[in-house]
Amino acid sequence: MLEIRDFSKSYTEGKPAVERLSFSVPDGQITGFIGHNGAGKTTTLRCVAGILSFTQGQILIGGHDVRKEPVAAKRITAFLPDNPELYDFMTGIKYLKLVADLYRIPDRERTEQIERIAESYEMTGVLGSPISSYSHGMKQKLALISALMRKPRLLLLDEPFVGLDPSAAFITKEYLKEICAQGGSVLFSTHVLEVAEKLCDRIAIIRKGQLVEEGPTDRIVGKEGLEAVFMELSEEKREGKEEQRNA
Amino acid sequence: MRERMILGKLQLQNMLHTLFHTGNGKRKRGMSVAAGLALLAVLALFLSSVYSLLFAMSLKLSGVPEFYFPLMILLAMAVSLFFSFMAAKGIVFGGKDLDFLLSLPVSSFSVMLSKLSALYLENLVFIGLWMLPTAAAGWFLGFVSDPLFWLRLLPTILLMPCLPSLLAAMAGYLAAWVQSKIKRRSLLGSLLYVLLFLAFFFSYMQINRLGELMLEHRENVARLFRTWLLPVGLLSDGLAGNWSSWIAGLLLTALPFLAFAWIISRRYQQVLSSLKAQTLRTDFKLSSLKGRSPFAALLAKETERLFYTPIYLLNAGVGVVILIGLCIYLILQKNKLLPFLSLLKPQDVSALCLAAIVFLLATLYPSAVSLSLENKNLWLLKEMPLKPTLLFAAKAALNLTLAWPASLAALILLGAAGFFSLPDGLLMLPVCLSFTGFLALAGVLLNLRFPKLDSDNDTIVIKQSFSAIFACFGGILLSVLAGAAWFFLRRLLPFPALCLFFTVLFAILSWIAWQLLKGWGSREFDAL
Repeated sequence: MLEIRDFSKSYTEGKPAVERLSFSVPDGQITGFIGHNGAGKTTTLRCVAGILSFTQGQILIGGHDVRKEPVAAKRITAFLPDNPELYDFMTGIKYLKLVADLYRIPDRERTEQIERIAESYEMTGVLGSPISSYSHGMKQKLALISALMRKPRLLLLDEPFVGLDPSAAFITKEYLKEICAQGGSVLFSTHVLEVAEKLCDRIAIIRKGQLVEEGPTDRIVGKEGLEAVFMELSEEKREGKEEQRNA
Repeated sequence: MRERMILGKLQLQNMLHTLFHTGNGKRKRGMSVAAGLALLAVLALFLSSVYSLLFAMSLKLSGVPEFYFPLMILLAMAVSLFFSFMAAKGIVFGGKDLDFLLSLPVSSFSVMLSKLSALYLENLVFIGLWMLPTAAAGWFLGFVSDPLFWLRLLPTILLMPCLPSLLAAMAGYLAAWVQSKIKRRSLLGSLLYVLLFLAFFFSYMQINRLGELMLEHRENVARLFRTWLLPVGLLSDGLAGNWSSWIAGLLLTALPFLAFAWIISRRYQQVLSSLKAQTLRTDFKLSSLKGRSPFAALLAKETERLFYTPIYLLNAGVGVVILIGLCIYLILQKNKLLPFLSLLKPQDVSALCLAAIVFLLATLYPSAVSLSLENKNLWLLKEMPLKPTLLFAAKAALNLTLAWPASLAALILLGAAGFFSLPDGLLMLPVCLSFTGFLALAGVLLNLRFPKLDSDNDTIVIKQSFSAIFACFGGILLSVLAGAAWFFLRRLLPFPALCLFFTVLFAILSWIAWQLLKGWGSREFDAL
């Protein structure tokens, strides 16, 4: 579903945020994207979602190149940022209507989807209120509703569980599994390693803009657990720095 | 004291950053922005000088020169109050930095003062550009001759903004409080501002009669400047040479400002909480989810934002309000205008009407700020499966939802009142549509060239961003240039040919603008 080939992105000359990243997210699988703060996870997700431009490499979503066929790629993708800034001047329902219109979702389907998903997130009672009155968690839920109602084939999530109450987090995980059961794929970044370990079929670990580990969760986690693997990779980084200093 | 200096400096840096940075980190654009703003400042000074001189001369001829400085001080304060009134709500009782500022170990008084200083700085720029030419015109015509007048002028200019800032903050709080309590607050708020603006506009239209009104009610006016308008009276006496009046005037201007800051700061958190409290609504229907085309959906979003944000409507769309107000005023004053109109050829009257309509429509600039207003929401549009050109079309169409109906309404009103014939009206309509179409597309281009995606609140984008200022004044300049071209061409071409010429000219310019948007514009948008 998602192919990232030799992807690089720099914000300033000579200082890449992501460097020669290559990995894929197969159909029907959830891939966890893990790394330190500033490792390049959000940059990667935003470039895949078509929000940020990049000049090196190739990103294919369902066979569509995000640079050459951006509209086709975006049509089958949904992205949820870590801190979803939505239109404060709209009500929740108007925002969902806007998204449904832009994705050309038929009337009946959008009504059914919104009813079902909003009900599961217990948001039905507040959709008539302005988004400016929503808490962070409510905005997160509204953004999730807008993403899920499109039935995306690729769902990109940046720290999706931050700000969600436990029941909403559980429901979200169920929806992610549902997407994969229907042949779609999910790529999400998280700092909560336990969630990644339990939920993901594959793990990709990024460090300083470079992929350091990628593959099935069972193989990466091994007997030690994901946290130990992550800390080991960090230790390698610290040792590497010390060696540089001593040299 | 030190913390107040730091917070005050922060507001000044914020203002300068707003004016000179386009929010995409390119220093080169910052330089062109600075040059553009310098040019606009020179233009503003020129216009202000001409106006001041003409006004001073009219008062001198009317025999009431003693009212020149009081009236100019009053007008400076009133106009700056009007323009900062709408900004006050967002600047003083809003802003994304509010949480940060209130969490700092500084007094609420310091925070309040720093917020009010943002209003103050805005008013200071306006009052400075107004009062300097006022002083020069007064000096030139001999209203003052004391060289110390110039020494007293600077502190006067520095403290004058305190009073309009105070009144704007008070009015801003009232507006915010009313809006938080009312259900359809966005639309009602916009309507309220429109009515206020119309009231201001009709009062301002009486200004030509000011000289004779002053003479007629000399004693009453003088009494007014000793009572209700005491600070204005004292400041103008002070400028004329009365030191005690001057000091009293300065104190009476500055002290209420500080007192207000202190009083509100005591309850700042409570005030902010009460403004944030909104009634949750549950009255929506899923059946209202009927589908629209993506273009219609985008345009509906743009329109909703425009009407939801009074400051957006009343700044970027004020031309429409003035145009309709002017049409109504002209209809009411038609009998007084008849002697003048009868001296002109019918098609010269038509041309004058067209010039006035086009001039006012040229001040519309929603498309020049709508991209900047996306701000942190930009990711939503970039994520959507939309071609950038669809987005640009919706943003340009926002201008046209105001401009085209306003053009039609103005032509119908003035045509029905007999200012021009029906054939002339039909010829003038495509000129208006074509001209505003070009400005709408040019606004989008301008906003792509000078985006401002990092502002704390919408007020800064709408009132202080370079693309907003340039679009408004640039549009006016274009309409003046078009008028000048019409003036010279009218000897060569008859009225219908002139209308056709300008319709085609602006249609071609619109086509060029659209081509630029399709190519360069799409690339710029992708890079945002």
